[in-house]
Amino acid sequence: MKRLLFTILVIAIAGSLFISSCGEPESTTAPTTSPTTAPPSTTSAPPSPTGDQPRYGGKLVFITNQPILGIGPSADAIPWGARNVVPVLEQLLFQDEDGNIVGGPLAPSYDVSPDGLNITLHLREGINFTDGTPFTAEAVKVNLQQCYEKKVIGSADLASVESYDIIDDYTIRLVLSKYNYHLLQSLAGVFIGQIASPTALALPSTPETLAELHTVGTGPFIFDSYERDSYVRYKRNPNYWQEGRPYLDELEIRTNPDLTVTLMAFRSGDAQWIENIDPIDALALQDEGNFTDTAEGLSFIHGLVPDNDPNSPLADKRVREAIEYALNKQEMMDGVGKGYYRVPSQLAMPEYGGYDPSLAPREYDPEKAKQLLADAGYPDGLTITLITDVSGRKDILTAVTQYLAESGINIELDMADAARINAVRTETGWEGIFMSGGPAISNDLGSWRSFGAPYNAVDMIRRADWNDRWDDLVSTVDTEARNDKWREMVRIIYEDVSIIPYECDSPLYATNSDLHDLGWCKNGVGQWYDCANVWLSK
Amino acid sequence: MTTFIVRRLLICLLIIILVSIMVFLVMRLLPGDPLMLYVSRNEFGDLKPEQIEELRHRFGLDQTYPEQYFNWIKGIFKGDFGLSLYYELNVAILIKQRLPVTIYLGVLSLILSSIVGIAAGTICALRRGKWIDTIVTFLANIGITVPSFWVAIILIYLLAYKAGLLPVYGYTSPFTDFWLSLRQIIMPVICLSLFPIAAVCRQTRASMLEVIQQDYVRTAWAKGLGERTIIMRHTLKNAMIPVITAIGLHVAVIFGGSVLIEQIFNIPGIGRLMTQALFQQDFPVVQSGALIIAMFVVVTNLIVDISYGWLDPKIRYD
Repeated sequence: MKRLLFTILVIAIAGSLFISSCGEPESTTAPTTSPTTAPPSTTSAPPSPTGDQPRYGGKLVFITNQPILGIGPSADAIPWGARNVVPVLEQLLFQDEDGNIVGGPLAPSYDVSPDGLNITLHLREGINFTDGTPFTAEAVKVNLQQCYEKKVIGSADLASVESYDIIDDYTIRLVLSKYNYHLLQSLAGVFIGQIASPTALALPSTPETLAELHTVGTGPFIFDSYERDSYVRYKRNPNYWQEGRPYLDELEIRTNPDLTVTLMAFRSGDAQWIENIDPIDALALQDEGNFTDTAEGLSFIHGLVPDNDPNSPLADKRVREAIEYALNKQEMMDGVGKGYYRVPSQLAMPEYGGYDPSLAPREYDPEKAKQLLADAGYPDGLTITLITDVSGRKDILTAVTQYLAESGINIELDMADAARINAVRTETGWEGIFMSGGPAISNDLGSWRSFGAPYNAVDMIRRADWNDRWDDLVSTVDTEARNDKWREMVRIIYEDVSIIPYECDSPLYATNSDLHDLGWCKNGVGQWYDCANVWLSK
Repeated sequence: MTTFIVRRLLICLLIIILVSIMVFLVMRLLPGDPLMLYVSRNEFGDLKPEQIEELRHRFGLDQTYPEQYFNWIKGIFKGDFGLSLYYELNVAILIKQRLPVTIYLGVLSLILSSIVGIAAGTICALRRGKWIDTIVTFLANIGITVPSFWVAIILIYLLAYKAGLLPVYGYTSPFTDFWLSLRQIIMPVICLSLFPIAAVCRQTRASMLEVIQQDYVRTAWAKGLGERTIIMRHTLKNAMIPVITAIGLHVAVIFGGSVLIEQIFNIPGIGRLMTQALFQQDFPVVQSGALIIAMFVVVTNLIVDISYGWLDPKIRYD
């Protein structure tokens, strides 16, 4: 009898597991490579409630997979801290949808002299930091100088600043030894462009008290509390200079590296906004009535980078071209990106200033790839090492190696961790193909430093005058002239096949129907989201 | 007994030193330069070689391995565990913030697993062959085999997402908000306790079965003593020696399991700290964290060994 009962129990459990596994497949985070038919229609922004008026009150919870290593102003060189203090510290400048640098909340306008050696920022008048310190040109100077001293990301561009001339309380002139377009981009970025109270910055602090003492800005929120690697909380600034703003009472940023748990937290209502989600999850969330979209004004191109060893098979341009013709980029983007990703044919997308419409895409053509290999002396194919890092997408990696294998290019995979991949890229170089797991080129010209600067991508194929061309590009004041030079560099990379682009993506985010006017990355990465105007309908 | 304790302490010290050397060497044998990671995170790309050497000196990476090791050990005695490359913070501060969280989680798990495991094992032994024994043993076997991270996801799905009874993840100090802390800690503690409960239950059952067959227990039954008296006074203590050993070993299991659980539930404990430090090749954090965990494990096992003398006066260490 006991044995019978036990047997029945086992069968019941096994049966229930079997039946549950045969149900409707839920969305998984393991994308397939089968193409979809049409790109997903991005749901329109959540409808506003009756009367179309933003509502006051509520707490916005945002879950990110980025770490919260510390909280503090950029001027305190907190690792990866700048993004997490956006609610408190406002920007000098912004970047518009076309990538142009425009006035921001703290510097509504700016001028650049015709020779590019003077950048004059016209600051917003009559506003104070939350500790009562007036926001003036002196505050900007203190912040920028401190950023440079502490080698904050983006501060290398300040090396060209010979002096900070305070013309009056609301006008500061940066006198440069040489024009550098990156400097304007950095001032429009979340790093050196954020301005904290100089009074607060001068307060003696310890690592435990730095967040509370130094995170003082002009923004719509005030720092409340934080736990490293866990969360940071902000509360409404009742004296914010924009009247009637912000709408929210509180804003909380939480970190969680596990996407499955993040999705469950979002679906259960613990958070109204999550980011860096997978396309397949974005589709599922959309079907559930949530709003998903890619970051406006921000996209990244990923590319394969052949080595520059003259003895390598990749020294032959035909082999490099063969690699590009072997990749079915459209199918990869459809299968993995589910319509959210795009196919790049050059190292710029149509909305980038450097895009050259005259460059013909190298469309998928495995036969041509094989022919090129045969012409290069590899009729039976060849084997190449591909080094990539563990953080990259495995499905894309699988697709790339598969397509290459079908054209006779066999890949020997070398998976490196974060430390080694960085050393490979910047110091030791690599053999074969380098495939970065992280984002590469973006419509932000500053990201080109990944490939353009001498200290990065050390083994990339470059013409002898590459560095001179690069220096000339970033020293060009006129936007059109600069874009012409950018196009020229894109053309060189295309002709030399020194970078083989295969994917253009943009960070995907999701919000529920309660969240409105988030404005994520609408002003480039300088303004991650519009803290002042975002509101909740519940 | 004193001699035994001193001898064991010396052995513990030796074990800790060996563990520290092993961790120290393994981290440095990993490919890649952690300084390059640090450099790439900041605006150091255009530094001159002498400036990079200055950074290397700041983090103590320009010294020989023996120098680095001895300087690190010397610093520990002064409370200086080194400077984290990833957090750019003194490691002692990080450990001070994170260790209490893991200890809190671990102690709760240990208490839960001990109480539930011993109780379940005792019941199984006393009701051997009955339906309760069958079910509990079956559940214990599942508890031994099922991965804790899988259970974590299932619990989150059922209790937090579907039922909405508990928060999905997170950690709040009990001193900040006790009830929120309690609700947030339930699932992580259950996940962390599953394996120890199952193992302790099985061990207790086996141990109790052996003891209750002894002559003196049969005599106690024959004398007409109550079940509770027989269990609590005559049986349990004698059966506990192997169980206490098992519980002591589970301290290491709980520390190891906390890595995954803290990651899933986003608990800022030392397990999560170690995971991130490992991926970033943050030597000082990994070394110091491993050292502290090793200390906990050896001290716990020492306490377990000493407790044998209390449990069974026949066991004396002279």
